[in-house]
Amino acid sequence: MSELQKSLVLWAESPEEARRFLHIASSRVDVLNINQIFVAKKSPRSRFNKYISGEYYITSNDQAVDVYDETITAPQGITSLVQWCTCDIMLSIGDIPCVVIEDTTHIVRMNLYQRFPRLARASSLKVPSLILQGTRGLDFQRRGDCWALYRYLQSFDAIAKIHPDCPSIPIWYEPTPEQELAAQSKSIEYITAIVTQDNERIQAQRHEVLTHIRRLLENGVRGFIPPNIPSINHDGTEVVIRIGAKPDKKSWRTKGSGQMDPYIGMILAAKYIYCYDTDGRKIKPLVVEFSYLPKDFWFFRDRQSTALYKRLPFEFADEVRFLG
Amino acid sequence: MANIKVDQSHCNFHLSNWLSRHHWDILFTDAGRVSRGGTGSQGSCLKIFEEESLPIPDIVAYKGEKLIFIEIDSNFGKAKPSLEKYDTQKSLIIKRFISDLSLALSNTSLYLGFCRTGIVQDSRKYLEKETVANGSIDFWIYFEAPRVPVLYWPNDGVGK
Repeated sequence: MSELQKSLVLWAESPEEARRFLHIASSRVDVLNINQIFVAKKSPRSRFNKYISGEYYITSNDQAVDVYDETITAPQGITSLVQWCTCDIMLSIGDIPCVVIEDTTHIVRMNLYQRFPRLARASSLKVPSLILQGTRGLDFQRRGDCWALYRYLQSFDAIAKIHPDCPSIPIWYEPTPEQELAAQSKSIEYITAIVTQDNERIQAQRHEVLTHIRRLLENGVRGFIPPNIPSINHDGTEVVIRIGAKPDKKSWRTKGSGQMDPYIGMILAAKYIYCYDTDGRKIKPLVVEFSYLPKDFWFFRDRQSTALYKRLPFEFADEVRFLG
Repeated sequence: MANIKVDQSHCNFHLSNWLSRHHWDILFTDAGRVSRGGTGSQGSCLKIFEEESLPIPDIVAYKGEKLIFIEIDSNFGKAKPSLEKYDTQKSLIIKRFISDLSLALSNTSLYLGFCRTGIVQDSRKYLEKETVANGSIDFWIYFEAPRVPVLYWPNDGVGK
């Protein structure tokens, strides 16, 4: 076993993510021969987020990824990466994270930027990342769905401008077995290049994907370029996101995310897309306006909480206004 | 020494592997990830469940004109509503699996099973209790030790 293989560690959100990654990576087990596996949640249905303080479960370190009831404290580099939500997969060489991977089959039009904060976080910490993104849920015969992919890709173009040395790469595919396999293979090729520090291949793959994205942003997805999202105003001296969540909705009390689920990613994506110039310099502040919520709305009172949905709007925005 | 958690994820993975080794085709597993969909039979099954407003089973498998739906949970009561729904919609489910997945099925092809999470210490006692109280399903699965599912299918020669 090489020195690299002795020290390659997989950090997964849950055993399911780890198993899926091991399955996809099995074609390059010569390089991606994982030595240890830890998981943030003992099962995908767990709602705990103790990973924020670095708590990870020990596993059987094999394809089964059986989870033990014993935990460890993850190294600082891993804990830093998950402060804006846990990532599907992180690989580290020893204690040093080397790549973050998200893997999802669906795009939800109402929650396009759900995974964006984790990827932006990785780039901001100089850890390269990629998302293997199926487009199930979108129908490219419909203009609105072409707009959705366009808006999704805008956020990756923005990351690349702000963090040019460490962009996040989306590898997207239409939901057919052939396209899915091809996208998996491309992803593993990129991950292998990162793990082996093959800079030439890393740069070539980044260039290919980012050039493709920029071509689509110039010409539109299937020719369709979307109008601005109505709730984001970026014409003036500040970028303002209006959030129309009403205070009397039951889900503020029944769900940990309250009504904030689609907004966290959108707030950060808007910051990346509209608050910076083409050279990646910040030129405008980001303001989040809750149109109907009163000042000191109870849901956000405990901002020291580990609940990401209560903390992150304040962390991402330069100013939060309650207009209700 | 640390113990392995025999939870839903563990049971799903090891039971699916066990079924595969016994020549069942795994058509669908609900891994509990945010995105359950995918290509192939996984996507086709999910489409059926969503279009027919059916609960999502934990495992769907097929072998020799038999289609099985398995619910995995910590007790039967939690799985019962889903199993009852599949039972009342059997003919619709069979019809959709014939048309959407081109399976060779008959009117009586759908069998329902329950897999209990955790370790069963006394399997005889467990099965006596379960089969009397919840005899409406076809088979039971439990774990006497991590990684090793045990299938009890009283009227089918242990599902072979």
